[in-house]
Amino acid sequence: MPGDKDIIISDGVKKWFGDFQALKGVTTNVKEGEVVVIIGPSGSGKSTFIRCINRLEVHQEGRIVVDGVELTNDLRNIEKIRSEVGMVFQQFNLFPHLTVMQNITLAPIWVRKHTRADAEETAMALLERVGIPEQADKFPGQLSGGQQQRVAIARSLAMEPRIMLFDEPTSALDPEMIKEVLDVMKELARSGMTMLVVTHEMGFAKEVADRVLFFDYGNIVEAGTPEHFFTNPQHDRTKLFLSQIL
Amino acid sequence: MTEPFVNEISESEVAPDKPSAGAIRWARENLFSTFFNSVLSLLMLALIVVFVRGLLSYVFAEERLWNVIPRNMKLYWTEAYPVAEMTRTWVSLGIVLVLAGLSLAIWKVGGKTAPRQFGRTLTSIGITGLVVALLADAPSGIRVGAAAVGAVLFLAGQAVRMMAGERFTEETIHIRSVLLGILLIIGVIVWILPIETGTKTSLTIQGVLLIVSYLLGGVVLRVVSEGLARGVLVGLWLLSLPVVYLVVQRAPVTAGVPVMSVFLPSAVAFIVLGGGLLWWMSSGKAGEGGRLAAGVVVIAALGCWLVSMPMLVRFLLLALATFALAAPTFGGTGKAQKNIVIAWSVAVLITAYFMVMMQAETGLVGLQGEFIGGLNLTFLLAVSGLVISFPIGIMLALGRTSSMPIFRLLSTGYIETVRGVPLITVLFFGNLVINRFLPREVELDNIVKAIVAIALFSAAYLAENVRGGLQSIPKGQYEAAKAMGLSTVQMTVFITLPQALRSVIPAIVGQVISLFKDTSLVAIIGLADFLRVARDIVPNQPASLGSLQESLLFAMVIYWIFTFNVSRASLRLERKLGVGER
Ligand SMILES: Nc1ncnc2c1ncn2[C@@H]1O[C@H](COP(=O)(O)OP(=O)(O)OP(=O)(O)O)[C@@H](O)[C@H]1O
Ligand SMILES: [Mg+2]
Repeated sequence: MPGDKDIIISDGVKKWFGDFQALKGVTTNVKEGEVVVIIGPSGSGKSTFIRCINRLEVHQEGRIVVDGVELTNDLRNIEKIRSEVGMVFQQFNLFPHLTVMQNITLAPIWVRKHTRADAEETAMALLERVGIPEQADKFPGQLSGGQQQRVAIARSLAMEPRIMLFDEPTSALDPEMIKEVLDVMKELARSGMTMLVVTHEMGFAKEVADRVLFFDYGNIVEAGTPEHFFTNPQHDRTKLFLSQIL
Repeated sequence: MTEPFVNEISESEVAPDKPSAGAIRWARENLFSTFFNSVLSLLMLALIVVFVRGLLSYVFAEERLWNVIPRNMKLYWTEAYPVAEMTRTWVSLGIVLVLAGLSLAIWKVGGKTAPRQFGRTLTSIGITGLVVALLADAPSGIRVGAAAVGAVLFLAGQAVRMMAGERFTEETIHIRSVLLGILLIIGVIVWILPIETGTKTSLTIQGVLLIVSYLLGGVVLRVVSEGLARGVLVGLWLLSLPVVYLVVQRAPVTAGVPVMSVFLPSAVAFIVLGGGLLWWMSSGKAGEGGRLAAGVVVIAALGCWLVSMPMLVRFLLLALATFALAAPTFGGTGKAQKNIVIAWSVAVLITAYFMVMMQAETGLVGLQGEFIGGLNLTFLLAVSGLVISFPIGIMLALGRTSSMPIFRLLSTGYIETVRGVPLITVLFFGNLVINRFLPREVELDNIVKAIVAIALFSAAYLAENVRGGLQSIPKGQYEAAKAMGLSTVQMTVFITLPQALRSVIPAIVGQVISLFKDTSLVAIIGLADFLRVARDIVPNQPASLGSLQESLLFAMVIYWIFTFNVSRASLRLERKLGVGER
C-alpha cells in the first residue's frame, strides 16, 4: 500500500524537441510504494515523461523532485538520482560483451563501491528472485528475450533503487514470454516498490496498479484507479483509446 | 498450420569419408558438375599450371643465388649491429620467445584437432610437393627431393587417416605436438643450411627456450589463477619492448645522466605529492574539490609543453593527469585507494627508469646514432609505433565524439590533417621539425623521431576506426549505462570502448598490417630497416653482388609470413570474442 510521502513530484513539466512540444505541463505526484501505470496512444509523450524522471531527457520548464532532490543541471544530483532510480527498457539494453553476472554487478561495484564478493552474492539472490540463477555465466546473446528482460530487471534491482521505471518492458517479447516478465513485475509491486510502468498490458494494470494515468498529446488527460478506468472512464479520448485496445 | 517439415540431410554429409573416393566425388560434384563448369575448371587448372610452372622455373633457375640469403642472415636480422655484441640480440629474441612460450601456455592456444583435418593438411602439403616435382623446371636433384618429401607427407597423411579408423573425426591430436614437430623440422633444416655453427647453436637454444617456457607456463597455471597470470603477462609484454631496445640492445651507460640531481628527486616528489593527491581524490570524500584538482592537473599536463622543463616531468604530469581523471570514479573504497596509489608509484618508477635509460649514452664501443637496423629495426618501429598510437588514437576518437566543442575541433582538425598527407612526408618533415618543439637539450635520434612520426600518423587512422566502432553502438547502451548511475569515464571504460574496439578488430588488424609494411618508408630518413637491407645493403656486399631479386623475394616472403600470421591471429581473436555478440 502506498505511503503518505510524495517520492516523485512533477509540477508543470514541459519539454520541447526543437519546435515540437512533447510534454505540455505534466503535473502529478507519486507516493512512496505506489504503482502507477501509464497508458496512452503512440507518440503521446509517455516515454518522454518517465525518461525525464531520471534525466535521460532534460525538461525545459516546470519542476521535477525525486526523493527530495530537485533535478537540475548539477551533475552530482543527477548521479545521485540515477543510482536511486532503476530503469527497464523495451529493448532490454543489456551489455552484450559482459556476462549476466557482470551485467548485474558492474554498477554495485563501481557506483555503490560494494566488494565483488558482496555484489556477486546479491546478484545471485536477485537471479533467484527473477527465476534464472542458472544463467549467471552466460552472455545476454545466449538468452531468450524474456530471460534477458528478467536479467535487466535484476540488474536494476541490484542498485537497491527506491523507484523503478519501466518503459514498455514486454512490448519486444513473444507472447509466451510476456507472462514470465509480468510475474516478476507483479511480485516486485507487491513487495512495496515504487513503480512507474508504461505498458499496454491492461491485465497488469487491473491487477496491481494503484493509479492509472492516461496520456494524450503530451499531457495527462485522465487519472484514476483501475476500476474507474475500466468501468467508468469519463473523457471521450480515454473511451476511444480503451475501446481500441481492450 | 504449416506443413510438417522433415530435415533432409544430404548423403555426402553423413556418409563416411572414404579418403580416395571422397576426393574424386568432391571433384565431380564441385568442379565437373556441368559441361560449362568442366570447361571453366579445366581452363582454370591450365592457368594455374602455367603460373605455378613459371614461378617455379624462376625460383629454381640455375642463375638464382639463393645461398646469398643464409650467408647474410646477420645483415637481414640486425644490419650494422656489432658482431661482438650479437649475444645482445640473441637475448632480446630469447626474451620475446620466453614470453611467447608462456603466453601460448597461459592463453591455452592450440587445443586439439581431428585426424581427418591433420591428415588432410599433410596430404595437401604432400600433393604440393609432388606438383612441384612434376612441374618445376629445376635441377633433377631438387625435383627428386621434392617428389620424395611430397610422397612421404602424402603417405603420412593417408596413414594418419587410416590409423584413426572410425575415430577420424574425433579431436584427438594436440596441436601443440604438431607445433613441436614443426619446430623440430625447422631445427633440422637450420642444421642443414650453410650457416655459421655459432648461429646454429644460438637458434637451437632459442627453440629450446620456447619449449621450456611453454612447459613453464603450464606449471604457472597450476600455481596462480588464470586471470592473474594473464594480467602479469600483458604487463611483461609491454615492459619487454623498452627492456629489449633501451636496456639490452643499447647497453646504456648512465654516467652522464643526472640521476641523483634530477631523476631521483623528481620521481620521489611525484610519488609522494602525486600519491597524496591521488589518495585524497580516490577517497570518495574529495567531491567538488577533487574535480577541481583533476582539472588543474590536466591543465598543468598540457601547459608544461609550452615552457621549458625536463621531459621526465612532462611525462609524469601526463601520467598524473590520467590517474587524476580515473581516481574519483575508480576509487571510493580503501582497497581501491591503496591499489591506485601503488599503481601510481610503480608507474612513476618505471617511467623514470626508462627515461634514464633513454638519455644514457650507449656503452657499445665505437658506435653512436642509429646502430639498430634490419628486421630488428622494423620490429622496433612497428611495435612501438603501434603501442604508442593506441592510446593517442583512442583519445582522438573519444575527443571527436565528445560533447565538448573544443575537443571535437582539435581532434577532427588533427585527424583530417594527418590523414590528408602521405606517411613519407610526415617522416621526412617530422625528422626536420620535431626538434623545434622540444627543449634544446633534448636531441632525439632519428629512430625516436621515426617512431614518433609513425605513431602520430597511425593514431589518426586508428582514431577513425575506433570512432566507427563507437558510432555503431546502439543508443540504448549509453542510456542503460547512464540510468545505472555510471559516470562518463566508467561508461567509456566498461561499456562503450570495449564494444567499439571489438567491433573494429578487422579494421584495426588491417591497419596494423599496413603499419608493419609502411615502416619500410623510414629509408627516406636514412634508416636501414629490413627492406632497405634487402634492397640496398645485401645486394651491394662484395660476395653477394647481383642478388637483388633473390633478396627482395626473400623480403617479400618474410613480410608475408608475419602479416599472414597477424591476420590469422586476429581471426582467432574475433571468433573467441564472438561468444558475447548479440
Ligand atoms: N529525441 C527526439 N527528438 C525529436 N522528437 C522526439 C524525440 N523523442 C520523442 N520525440 C517525439 O515526442 C513525442 C512523444 O514521444 P514518446 O516517445 O514520449 O511517445 P510515447 O508515448 O512513448 O509513444 P510510444 O507508445 O510509441 O512509445 C513523439 O511525437 C515523438 O516523435
Ligand atoms: Mg514510448
